[in-house]
Amino acid sequence: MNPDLKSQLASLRRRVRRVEKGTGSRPPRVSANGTFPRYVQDWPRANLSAVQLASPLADDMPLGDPERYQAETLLDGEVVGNGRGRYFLSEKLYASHQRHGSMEISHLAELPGELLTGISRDDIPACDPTRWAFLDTETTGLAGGTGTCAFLIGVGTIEEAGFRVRLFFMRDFDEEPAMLEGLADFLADYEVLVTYNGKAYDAPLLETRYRLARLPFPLEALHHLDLLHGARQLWKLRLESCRLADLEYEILGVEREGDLPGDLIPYYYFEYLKTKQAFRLVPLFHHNVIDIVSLACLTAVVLPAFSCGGEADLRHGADLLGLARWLRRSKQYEPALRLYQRAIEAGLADGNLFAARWEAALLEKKLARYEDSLLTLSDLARVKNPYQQPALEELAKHREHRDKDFQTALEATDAALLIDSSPELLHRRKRLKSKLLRQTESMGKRK
Amino acid sequence: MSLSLNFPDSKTPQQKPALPDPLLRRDTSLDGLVDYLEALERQQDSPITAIRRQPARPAKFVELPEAIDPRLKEALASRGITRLYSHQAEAFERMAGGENIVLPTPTASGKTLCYNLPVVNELLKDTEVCALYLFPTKALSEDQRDEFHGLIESVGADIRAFTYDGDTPQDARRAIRRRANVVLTNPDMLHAGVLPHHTRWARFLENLRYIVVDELHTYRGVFGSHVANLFRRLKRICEFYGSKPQFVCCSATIANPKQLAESLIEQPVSEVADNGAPSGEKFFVFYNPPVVNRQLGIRRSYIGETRRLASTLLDRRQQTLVFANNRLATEILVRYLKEACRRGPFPPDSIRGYRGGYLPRERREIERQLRNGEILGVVATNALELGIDIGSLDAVVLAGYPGSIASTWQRAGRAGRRNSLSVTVLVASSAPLDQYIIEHPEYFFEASPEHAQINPDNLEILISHLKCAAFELPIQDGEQFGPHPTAEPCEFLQEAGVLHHAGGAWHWTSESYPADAVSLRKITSDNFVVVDISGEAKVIGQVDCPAALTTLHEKAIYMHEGRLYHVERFDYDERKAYVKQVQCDYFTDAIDYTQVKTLDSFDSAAINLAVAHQGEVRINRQIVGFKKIKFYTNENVGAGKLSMPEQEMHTTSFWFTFPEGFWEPLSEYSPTEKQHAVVGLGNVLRTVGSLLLMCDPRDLGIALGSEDQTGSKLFEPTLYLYDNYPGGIGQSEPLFRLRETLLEKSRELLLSCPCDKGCPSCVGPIGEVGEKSKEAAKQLVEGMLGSSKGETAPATSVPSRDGESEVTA
Repeated sequence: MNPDLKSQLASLRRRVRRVEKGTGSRPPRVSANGTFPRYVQDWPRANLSAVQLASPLADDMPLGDPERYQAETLLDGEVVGNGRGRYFLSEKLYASHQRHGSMEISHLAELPGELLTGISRDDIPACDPTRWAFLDTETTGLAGGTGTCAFLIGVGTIEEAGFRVRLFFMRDFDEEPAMLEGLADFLADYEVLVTYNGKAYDAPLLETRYRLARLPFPLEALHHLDLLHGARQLWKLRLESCRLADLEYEILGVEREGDLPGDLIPYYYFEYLKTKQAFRLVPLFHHNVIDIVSLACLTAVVLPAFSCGGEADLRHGADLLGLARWLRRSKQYEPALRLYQRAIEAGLADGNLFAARWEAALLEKKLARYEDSLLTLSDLARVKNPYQQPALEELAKHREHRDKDFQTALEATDAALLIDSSPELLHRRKRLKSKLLRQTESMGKRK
Repeated sequence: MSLSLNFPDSKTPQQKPALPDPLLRRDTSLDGLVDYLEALERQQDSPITAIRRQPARPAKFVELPEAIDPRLKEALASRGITRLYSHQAEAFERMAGGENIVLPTPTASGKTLCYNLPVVNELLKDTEVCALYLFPTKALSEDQRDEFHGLIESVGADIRAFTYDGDTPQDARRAIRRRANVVLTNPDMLHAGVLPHHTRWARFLENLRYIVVDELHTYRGVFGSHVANLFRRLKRICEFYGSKPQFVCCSATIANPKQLAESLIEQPVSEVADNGAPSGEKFFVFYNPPVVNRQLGIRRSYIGETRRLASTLLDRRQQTLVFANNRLATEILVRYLKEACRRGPFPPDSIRGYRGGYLPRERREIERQLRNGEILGVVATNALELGIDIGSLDAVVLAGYPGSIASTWQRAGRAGRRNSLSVTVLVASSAPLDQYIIEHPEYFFEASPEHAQINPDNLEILISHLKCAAFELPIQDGEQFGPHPTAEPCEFLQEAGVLHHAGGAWHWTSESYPADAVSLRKITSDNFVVVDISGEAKVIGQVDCPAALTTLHEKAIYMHEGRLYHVERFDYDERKAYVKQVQCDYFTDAIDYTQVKTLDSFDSAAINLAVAHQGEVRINRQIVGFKKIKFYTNENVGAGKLSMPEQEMHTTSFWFTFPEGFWEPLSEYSPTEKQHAVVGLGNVLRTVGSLLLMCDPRDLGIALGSEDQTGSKLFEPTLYLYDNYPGGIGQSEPLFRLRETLLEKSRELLLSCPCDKGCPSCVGPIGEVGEKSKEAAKQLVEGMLGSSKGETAPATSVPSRDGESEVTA
């Protein structure tokens, strides 16, 4: 390094120290359970572009023998080696007699492998649940890009004894290649990958990591089921959020204790790297394990719903409606209609109710159940609702083309026009009028 | 904004025309005009101070090189190219020899083929090959993509070229990464969008064979220093993928193209200097508007004279490009020339305006119309200075000196048919710099164009990019970043908590995305849209943030292609201005006010009685009001007060304070002369400082302030030399450290400058700094270096030196 840069660096260090000593301009620190500080905007000297913000974690490092807090002693697991080096592997078994919220662990092993075909619209072939791998990662940030790293990768699998979660962990950056290779070796025995938002997040991130380590990307060989999409389909109408942690509470009834704020996870790991004190990793490992167990249990709720057609075991109207729409898009019209009816019977909020009835009417028409369709449409045409006008228009079409009842068709068209005008309606009105005229003329002639 | 528009003849609208009848005779060739101008030059008190003729130069052709693929030869033949200009062939041969090359080429000399030829030829041999084209603007990327598409269409090959920038839709990006042979983008996108996600670009980077850097001269100063570090990162990533691309750089005329290219890419570069493109005979005319008031030395308005000269050229059916130095002058000239057309033989829509705020679609249309000859005249800002293809024109009129020799030549280069005469006329404004240049033609014609300087080793810039580099790939022990070992800066970054050392490498340990925190240039993406609400609301233009405050404030007249709009409402939070089209006979000019205040001195040292400091300053700029100015006569027909949001910039600065005692030995000077001495010294310090820092003079701001908070009337000025970048860019600490050298070199400059009493190369033109400035500035420097003493005067402001939108106080 040339002397000029050296002295510039020395001066930059002095400047950083000035800033840090300065009155209250040091970034605020918060405790582990506190909120994440917004110092990026507020810190007055954030312009010191070379200066990085200090950790927001509190200095509450336990005292005592530092050895006691190392990963190897504090966490259940062992150091494993392979051709690329060593990494840390931790295991946790949920025995089959245990429960996770409302779900019995033993239930997981009983899931029929055919369930995969329904939700994936036949993209994923049936496969025994013992060949499924549930995966979730903990990363050094959400920014994405090559500088974001998955330092902990949890994989859950279903076996006779219960549900086993393996945590692949790198104790430092130099263990990453070995950890990735270890994961690849492990996944080689599995056929299906189940994640939550993994298609958008975990898989691309891991692909980058494997490429940087110059290793083949093992996830490509697996069928990937991203449960997020199915879960959103089922619950987005009812629940404000479909985050895994929220579904875990709402659907499975699990209440997490002592969980850590997700925003701080990268900082926990960075602190561990600096100090090699693993005491804060204990809740982090636990967090990842719970995520994976919940993912597996939610899978056991979501998959059957998508495979039972009209008889899905759901109680909430909103959930039934969500699934009905998915079935309609999958062109499974009969079961979709059945679910629309069940959703309406189960009870829906007004907005959803009108939408459900309207969609059901269109489906009935498609299935040539014209009488049912007419009944539903007439109901919708009678009361003020967002579908009143299209319902009137549908009625008019039906009366005109099926019943040849031009007079009733014209009345429906006029009623629709009272609500809002459209070129199509005006055109229909004109045509109906001339049809009516011709009808009267021909009747006159016959007389 | 208000500085550059001077209408000295506003009180005397009834002048007899400066250009008498013979000129207005309709004559469609330029020959007659040149004869006339030459005759005019010989008259006494002629407004023409110089005419330089550049004789026609024949083309130097060579045969197409053997190595060119027959398909490509055929395609070239179909476009009428059977031979190459010598520089094109030389570029081809040197590229084939594996060299990096730089081509300092004027506009319209076939430079595009210099890089497209080797690239396409290689792609015909190997369809896997990839090339990265970098342009400073998105518009240039699009322009060149179309050009490239044209060539590969004639070849009929399956070569895929795409632009990739902020405007590229997300769903197209994936396909581009997977399929592109040629990607045309800009440094900012490479910095924040490509390199931090390089694994997605693995195929492209593995096969990357060529990097084309067009408009190399724009990568100077702080921007260039960033780009040099960006190239360090790019080369590092290429190494990871096992590729070693060759660089082809094209530059406009600057003094040191080879040196600039080598410091940007940090590899040997060979210069293809000999230009084989032909050029017709060219005339360069210096025109100084005649004096209309001898006592006050007032000249005719340069805007009016520009209009007159441009009209004369247009009347002769000469396709003419008028360059103005700011948007207000541009719009006024568009309006004047359109109105002149209404009285002449051409419809007003044969004249158009062109500047940054126009919508991209509108700009593409104007470029096309210029190329096709559908329009006769365009008035443009420097937005047309870069190499957008508009073909060659007959004449260029420069309304005011563009501020630098290089940029004047580049604008002048827009005129120049291959086989016929072309003319450039520089019309001087009354600004001191313009007056100096126009009265000293030899200063302009004999001087070399400016050197483009960069300093890739500016520590703050280097550290910012080292962070990005670590994010992209861990930094291995012993690895160099450019020429620098990385151990010490990495240790520094570890102390700062963003790097962590493990397994022989430094790893990024922060949840942030460092490229987001580093902006390569001082541009903000923050802009205002102009919504026309005369009828159905529609967006008619956009204005970047600082300029919006001066042009879109309430009651302003916003001009767009000569049309006038009254600003009804300015919504700062929503970044919108609502305007209605109006007919009126005035335009508005905002009055702004800038103030510099010391926040914190990090370090100080006495230099004799003066004191040098470095630290933080705050620069406040506020628009306090506006003037209404009548078209043509430039009468002031009203004014208004405004309370606009204050713009505030915190930055680092180097500064001198001169206490009262310092002035004792200079007591023979009047207060104004002392003031001028400090201003002159500021100009010298900026020139010398930018050389020492290897930055562009515009990267340093100068401001004069009085730190006197007590209300006393003592003359104790402070001379600031600040980093013209929010947050500072690390230039103040080196200046402080080099203060002795800075002063000694300044003394050398003052002693060696051959001018008599001041010129733009030293203290500034006499018109700006007065007759005594050079002499007094010399004494100031001596006073600091040797020994000295002084007295009192009020503090005021330093006007801008280069007519650009420089912030001064």
